[in-house]
Amino acid sequence: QAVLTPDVIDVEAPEYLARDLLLLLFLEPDARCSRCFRAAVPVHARYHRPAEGTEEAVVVLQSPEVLLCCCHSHLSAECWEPAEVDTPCPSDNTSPCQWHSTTHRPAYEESMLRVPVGLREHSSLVCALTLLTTGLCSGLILAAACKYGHFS
Amino acid sequence: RAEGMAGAGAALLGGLLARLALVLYGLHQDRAMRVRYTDVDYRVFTDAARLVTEGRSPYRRATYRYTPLLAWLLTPNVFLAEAFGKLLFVAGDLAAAVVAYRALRRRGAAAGRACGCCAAAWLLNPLPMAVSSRGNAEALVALLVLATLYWVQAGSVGKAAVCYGLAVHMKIYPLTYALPIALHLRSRPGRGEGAMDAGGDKTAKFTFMARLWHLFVKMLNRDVLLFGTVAGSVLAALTVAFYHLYGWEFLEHAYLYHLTRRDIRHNFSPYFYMLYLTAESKWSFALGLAAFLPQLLLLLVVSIAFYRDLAFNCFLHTTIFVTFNKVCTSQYFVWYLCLLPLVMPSIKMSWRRGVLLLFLWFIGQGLWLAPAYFLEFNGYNTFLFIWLAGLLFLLINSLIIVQIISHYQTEAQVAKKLKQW
Repeated sequence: QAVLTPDVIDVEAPEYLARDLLLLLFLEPDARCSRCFRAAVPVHARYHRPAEGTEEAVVVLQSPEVLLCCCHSHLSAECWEPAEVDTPCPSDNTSPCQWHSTTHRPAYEESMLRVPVGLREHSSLVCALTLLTTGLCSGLILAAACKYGHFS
Repeated sequence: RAEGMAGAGAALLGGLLARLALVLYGLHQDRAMRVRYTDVDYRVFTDAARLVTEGRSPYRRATYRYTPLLAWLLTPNVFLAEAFGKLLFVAGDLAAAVVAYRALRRRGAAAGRACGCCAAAWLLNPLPMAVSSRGNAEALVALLVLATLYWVQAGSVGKAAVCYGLAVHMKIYPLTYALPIALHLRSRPGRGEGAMDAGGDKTAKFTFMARLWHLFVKMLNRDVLLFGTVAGSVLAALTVAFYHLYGWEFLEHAYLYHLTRRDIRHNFSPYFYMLYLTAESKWSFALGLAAFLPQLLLLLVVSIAFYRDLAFNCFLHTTIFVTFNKVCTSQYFVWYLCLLPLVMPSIKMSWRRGVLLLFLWFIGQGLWLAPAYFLEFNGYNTFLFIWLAGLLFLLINSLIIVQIISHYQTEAQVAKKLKQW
């Protein structure tokens, strides 16, 4: 089960107009290994601002925070400590459960996503050539329409 | 006649089987591969339909920017099977082919020829097949547009206006057909024939501007007013009813979004990279306008040049609109492909030339899709290639349009030739 905050997201907005996202993944233990929890999250990058001098924008994906739920039958040694985080329970989104943040060693300190972006240096060339080509093509079609059309 | 029916039946069956096969393949690819076959839009329709079955507004679903009618139509996606919508769009495809066939027969084409045109350009064309089997709703609008043209040709202005009102409600682009339809209705033989046609030998004396003025002033005859009133009422009624149900959200997402849409993400449009790079600069508005003006000018000139043949006029209209638009995705091609069967008999082109142009069109798309795939799925910076491919595609499309215009023959010549078959 996954919960996204905020739940109404503009998926088409460029990066500079988009808000931060918080993703909560509720995991059950792996079938084969009672202390293993697995999740795979697909990441789709937004469009970033065009950049000067570099072809990529860098996005840092921080390591996820791992929280242990002290709810129902899932009690463990950490639960004797006071609760640190108040987050909705997995099955019941209304009443908060007690979650404890655990210490863990991430495989990578932070993951970096390199997002390709347009280059500002190209602006003038792109504008000029685009407008020239569209002008040329409109001219061709106009000429054909005037030549073969019936204007009476 | 029996042979004609058999041919039509075979073509329809072929189209149906091919589309069903694609729908089944789509179900397989969705489950098995990383790149899904079904379009994202179809998920959006299904989610919106689910919201409607729960009694809520379909606009709660992000990126649902269509008419509520579509969500209502697709509610069986929730009750029966998720593939219901795709089957509905396939049925829409086939119905559009039937309407195109009947319209062609009305224009005087022989059964075999009409059947061949519909089959080649629509039923067995891979693009409409792919669009409908992926779950895009373009087939429904294509059906409504073809029905509008059919009824205008048949003389039932009222029925045409109802179909037109519905079509505009579903997608905004048919609004551009208002001018061709109005020009056609006012110039039909025996109806509202103005001094324009009577003064044949005086035309040389009139300046171009005077003729233009005369054309527009004589626009308002009984048919045009009837069409405008009925279509306007249908559109207004639907708008008011849905505004009453869903409020401002409906207006914002179904209509306003499409009119002010600025998509800087990569698409077939030649303007994409220019708009992306200048999205936040002070030139953004001016460039947007510079992109709009050629489109507008071409649409006006083409409408006036070819108003006598409504189907050809609308076909050119849509082709130009899509080619010069600021946003262009492959679904948009269906908008003019549905009209291609109607104009095929009027375009006298050798097979070789036709196939060459078609080949160029597909090459143009392929050259765009390759760098776009590398950008979207592999993260390579291929923006320049995508932009150049977009410009090339524009050139290819313009070439095709010019070739179609130069090989077009008027209806009278065509009808005479077809009757000799």
